[in-house]
Amino acid sequence: MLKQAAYAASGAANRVVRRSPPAGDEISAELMAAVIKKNPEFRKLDSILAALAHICLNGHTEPGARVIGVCSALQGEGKTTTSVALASSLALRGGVDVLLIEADLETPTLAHDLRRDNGPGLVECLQGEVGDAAVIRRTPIPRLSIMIAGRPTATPLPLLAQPGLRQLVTGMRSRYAYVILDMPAVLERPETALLLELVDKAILVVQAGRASPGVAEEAVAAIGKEKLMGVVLNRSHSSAPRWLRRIMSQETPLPAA
Amino acid sequence: MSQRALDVFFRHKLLVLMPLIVLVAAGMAAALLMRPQPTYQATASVWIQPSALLESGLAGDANPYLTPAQNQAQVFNDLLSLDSFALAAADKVPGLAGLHPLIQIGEVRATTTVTPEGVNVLSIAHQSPDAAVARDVVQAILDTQAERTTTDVVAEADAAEEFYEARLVTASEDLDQDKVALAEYMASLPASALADPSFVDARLAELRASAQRAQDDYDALLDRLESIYLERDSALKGRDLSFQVADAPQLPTSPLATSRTDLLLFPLLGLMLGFSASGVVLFAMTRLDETIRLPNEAQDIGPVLAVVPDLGRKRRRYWPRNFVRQVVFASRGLLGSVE
Repeated sequence: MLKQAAYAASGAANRVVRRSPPAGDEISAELMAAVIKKNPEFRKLDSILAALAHICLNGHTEPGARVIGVCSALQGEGKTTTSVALASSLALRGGVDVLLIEADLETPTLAHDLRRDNGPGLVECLQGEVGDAAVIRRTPIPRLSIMIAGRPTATPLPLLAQPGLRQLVTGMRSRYAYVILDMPAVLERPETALLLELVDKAILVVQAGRASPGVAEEAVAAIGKEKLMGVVLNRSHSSAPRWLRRIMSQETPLPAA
Repeated sequence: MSQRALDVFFRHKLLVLMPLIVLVAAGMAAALLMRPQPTYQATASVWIQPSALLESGLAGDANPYLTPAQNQAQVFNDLLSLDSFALAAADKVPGLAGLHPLIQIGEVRATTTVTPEGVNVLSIAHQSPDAAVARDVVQAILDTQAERTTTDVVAEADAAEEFYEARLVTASEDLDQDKVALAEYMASLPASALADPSFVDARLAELRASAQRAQDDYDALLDRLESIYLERDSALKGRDLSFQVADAPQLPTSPLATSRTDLLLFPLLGLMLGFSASGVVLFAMTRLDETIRLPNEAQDIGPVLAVVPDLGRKRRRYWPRNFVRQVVFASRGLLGSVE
């Protein structure tokens, strides 16, 4: 499954990736299996994000909240990692059809993260060059499909402002239980406001040690409190020993999987 | 705040503890560099006996309300404050020869203590980096004081001798006169009256009593004069009866023990300052880092759905194990290729 962070978590996994270049339209099953099975760190990540999926699947979203946007205040806080992992966990644990759409058209990274050639994607679909069926790719994870951004564009705003995107998302609502939108940074890209109109709920990814509370609150204001499902704290790390954190009641209980 | 401070401390522990480490090390270095050089102490004990002259009241500058040892200690301290006395003592110390007189005086005066240990015992101590100098200074002080005492005693004895001899002459004359008057009166009386035991004569009795008093005065003055002769002779022979060295100063064989407080002062000071400085650094780093790091800080923004650990950081923790694995793997490969 997943993004650079997951790959980077294990040297063994990276070696597998180098030895097994993916081929074909589908995401390499070998690659996915290698990452999932041979990377113990990923299992931990997966178990954590399974909790996130659990929340999505068990009433934390309103009825009909099928389109979930994953965004961050600043670029590079881990929203693509989170959205991929969330989509995977929803498909694996929920047993429902899930579509992951990479909506960051200016700096798409999903194809690169999955070691894939950046073939036709959302941009080409919105420009009418290909149909949506041609850009939706299956993955080794049952019921998980992804739509990469496609050719990078420097001016994504006009493209996303077209009614084509809304129609696409509306169409996907009927075909998939969940549509996960990997969105650009809220405070850095104007097109995020357009994308937020399409989603039912949004998850804000905050990278620990990067965003200040002021920036995060600004992002929450941009998203809208009523639309904010919650926060995913990424790259959280406490150097203090666990026993000491327990003594000081520092441990915040994670949502149960 | 405390959770954040804890996190900051463990994340930047080297930086936070650096002031503590540096200041404690500096304190230990200072303690080593400024360690006092070994000091030797020599001590002499002196037995003080009030002299006949003091008893006689002729040497009347002693405080009657103080013990002899206290009086003598006061005398010693007064003498040590005199440059002439200190210099005279320093001249007797071979280890101080050739030094500037002011340095000699300072050396004798600075680290010499005179302490009364009891009613009659006086302790004189001197500390010096040189054991021989410590002993020699105490001995020199005793010798100088002995010389000075001899001179004083002789002078006082001479004065007393002159005084008592004059009084003795007068007493002798009075005694002679009384004896003559008694003899003349007895000669004027009939011999039968003197032989009669029941004979009573007021004049004879008065003359006899007067002659006896004159004899007693003469004898007392003679005794006093003899004791003055004795004291002067003793002083001249170096045997001052009122000032006896009970324990002569010995060459100290080991230096004085260095105080633990002196040894630990600088490291403890460094420890306290280091803790303070590290606390300031920790506080500053905690306050300056305004980013969201902990789940409870993220809760202020909205409900925390998940906390994803920093996987890259986790990996670094296992690099030794991975390194060992790679070495083992490479070794196996090499061994296999050799076979």
